[in-house]
Amino acid sequence: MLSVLTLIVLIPLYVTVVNSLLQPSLIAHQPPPLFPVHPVWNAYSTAWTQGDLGIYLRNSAIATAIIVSGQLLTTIFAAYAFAYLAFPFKRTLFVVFLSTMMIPFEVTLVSNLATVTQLGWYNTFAGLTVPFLATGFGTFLLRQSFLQLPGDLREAAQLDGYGHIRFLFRIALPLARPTVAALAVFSFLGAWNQYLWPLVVTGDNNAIRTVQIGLKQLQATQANQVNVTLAGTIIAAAPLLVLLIVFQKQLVRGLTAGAVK
Amino acid sequence: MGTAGAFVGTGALTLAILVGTGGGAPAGAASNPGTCAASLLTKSARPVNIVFWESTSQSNATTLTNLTNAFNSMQHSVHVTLVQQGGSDVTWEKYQAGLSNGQLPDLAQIQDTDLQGAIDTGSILPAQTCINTNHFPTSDFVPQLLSYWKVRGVQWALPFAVSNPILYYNKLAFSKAGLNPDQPPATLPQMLTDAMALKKAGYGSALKLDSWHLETWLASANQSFVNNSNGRQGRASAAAFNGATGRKIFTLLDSFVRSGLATTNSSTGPSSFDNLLGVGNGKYAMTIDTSGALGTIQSLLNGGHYPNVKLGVGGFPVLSAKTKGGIEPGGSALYIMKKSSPAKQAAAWQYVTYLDGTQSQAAWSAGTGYIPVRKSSTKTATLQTLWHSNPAFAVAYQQQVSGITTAATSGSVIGDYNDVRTAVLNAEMSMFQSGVSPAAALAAASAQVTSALQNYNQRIGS
Repeated sequence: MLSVLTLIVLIPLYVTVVNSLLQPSLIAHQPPPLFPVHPVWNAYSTAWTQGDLGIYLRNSAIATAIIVSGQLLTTIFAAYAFAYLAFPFKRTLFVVFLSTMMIPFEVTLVSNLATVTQLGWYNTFAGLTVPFLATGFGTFLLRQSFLQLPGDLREAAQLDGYGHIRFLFRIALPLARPTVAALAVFSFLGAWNQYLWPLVVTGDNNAIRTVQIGLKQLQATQANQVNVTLAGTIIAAAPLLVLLIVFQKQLVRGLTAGAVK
Repeated sequence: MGTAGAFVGTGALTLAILVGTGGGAPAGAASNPGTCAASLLTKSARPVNIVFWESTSQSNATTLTNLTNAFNSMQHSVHVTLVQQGGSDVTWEKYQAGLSNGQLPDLAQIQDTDLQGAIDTGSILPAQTCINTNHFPTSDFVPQLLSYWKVRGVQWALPFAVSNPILYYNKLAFSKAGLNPDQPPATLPQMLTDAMALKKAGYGSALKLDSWHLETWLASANQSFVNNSNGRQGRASAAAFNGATGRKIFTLLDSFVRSGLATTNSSTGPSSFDNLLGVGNGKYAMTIDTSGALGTIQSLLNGGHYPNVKLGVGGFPVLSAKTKGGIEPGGSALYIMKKSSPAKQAAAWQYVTYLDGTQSQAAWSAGTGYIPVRKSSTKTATLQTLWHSNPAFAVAYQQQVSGITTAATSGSVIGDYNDVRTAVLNAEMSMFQSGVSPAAALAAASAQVTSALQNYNQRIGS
């Protein structure tokens, strides 16, 4: 059963790979070819050079690295504060954090763009990344994970003379590792696949645009270049696939953590 | 996923910006009344650098880059930087976002359906101003192409990448069905008759569900799609197609599809090429689609994998041979931005007149398959040679110039084209799938189009 479902999920990916290797004129062939009998590899080099994918991938990598590390940093501290510290308006603040999850990014797009431009960040990596350095979802996820640690741990650590920082990094964080890893993968996915924001906040040169924009530029409306577009898609998706394979375990564990108590 | 996100974004953006600009000038955009006078160029430091947001696909971008490089090196007063946006929808999204923070180009290639939207942003310097100042002659332009971008007597932009719908058919299928392979159907009723003969010979026909076609059939009968002369004398506020002509179109389409003669496919998403691919691989004997796809189809068929297909191209099958109308053009035009400095506006205008010049349009048309916007371009060696060896490329131009030029044949000016076209498509679907009568479907389409028009007008406060 599971293998059948896997097959269904993998078919589009397989078709993409096959079509990226076909001669472009075979695109309308009936029945559609299921194997590239005479694979043509040059679509990949064409996509790479014609589409400037090297630069775009580099930009995506930089922006994604900044966003992921920024999100982890802010999330860990914020979640710890909500889980272990007592301060006024804690509940209210937490609700405010959560409420940011309810507002679709598109709604705040125009005001965000105006803010970023006034700060002088238009067409910079700061403009591309700073609006995403904190995440309500991540804070919520990690706070739940911290709350599940037994209270005795905290007391024992206090007796041993651990302050907040040492408790966080020596005990709480190692125990919440699956959640942190899952969070990292999620924010990677989100950051890598962003389209609308990088589109509007990057200016008139390609030195800063991300790979999703590059893909859109590569997408020719002409059917005689379909193999190039598909090759570009594979190239852009490759880092994600690698990441998924490497972090698969953490991803699943993170998602199901807390599902069964 | 990206597309879905972008779509939501566009909706939100449009709303936010239209609400924001309803009362006055767009936020963040300084504006220069501008004159485009060529003398401004000689006075300012050289070269004047301008940024052009272009919306071409990757394969057409090469032709545009070559033209632009030639322009940059043949004179030294203007230097153009091309920024490829990756499609008309992307350019428009970016343009709308740019209104909020003033990050706009000096020149933009914007698609036909965004004409009213572009006017309503208040950020466009009408080409009319430049035409008047420089006494720029426009008599050489194909009249219908100019009139598409003319609203209330003002030429807002000059046409650049223009196409229109044509008939693609398989000559071998026509021969097999006992039809004359050199005489494709010239009218929609004839198309149905031919489809019946083709069906007997084992060939289907394909109908892409595109509201553009309803608009074109109306135009071919010289009938308006919306009121106030298709929105050209005043803002469109109601549908105008709920009459005898509209009913005739819907009735014909209904029997075309419900009799099983035609297979439909969506004009968006992954199935949007099914009709063309079907003609390519011999499944369908004929379909209607944009002339812009001709080069692609030919190169596809030249691969030698489809021995059962011999491509023929005919003019758009009009509603009736008796009424004289025209073919509504589609495509994109060049808009100059109001916020640019007067010198940059003059520079942009100089580049626009270069791109729309006789030789450039000939090269552009030969390289892309778009209709040349100038009559004189068709006399150049470039196009004469091409059209002689490949007559199919001349079809779109010829049917464009053979029509009459009225408000009805120039296409309609509508703010919210998306909702309007969706309304028409929904009505067509209700006919094809749920058996709603053509008259009822037409009435529903008409009511929904009217409410979409009024919603938009209310949103922008006019």
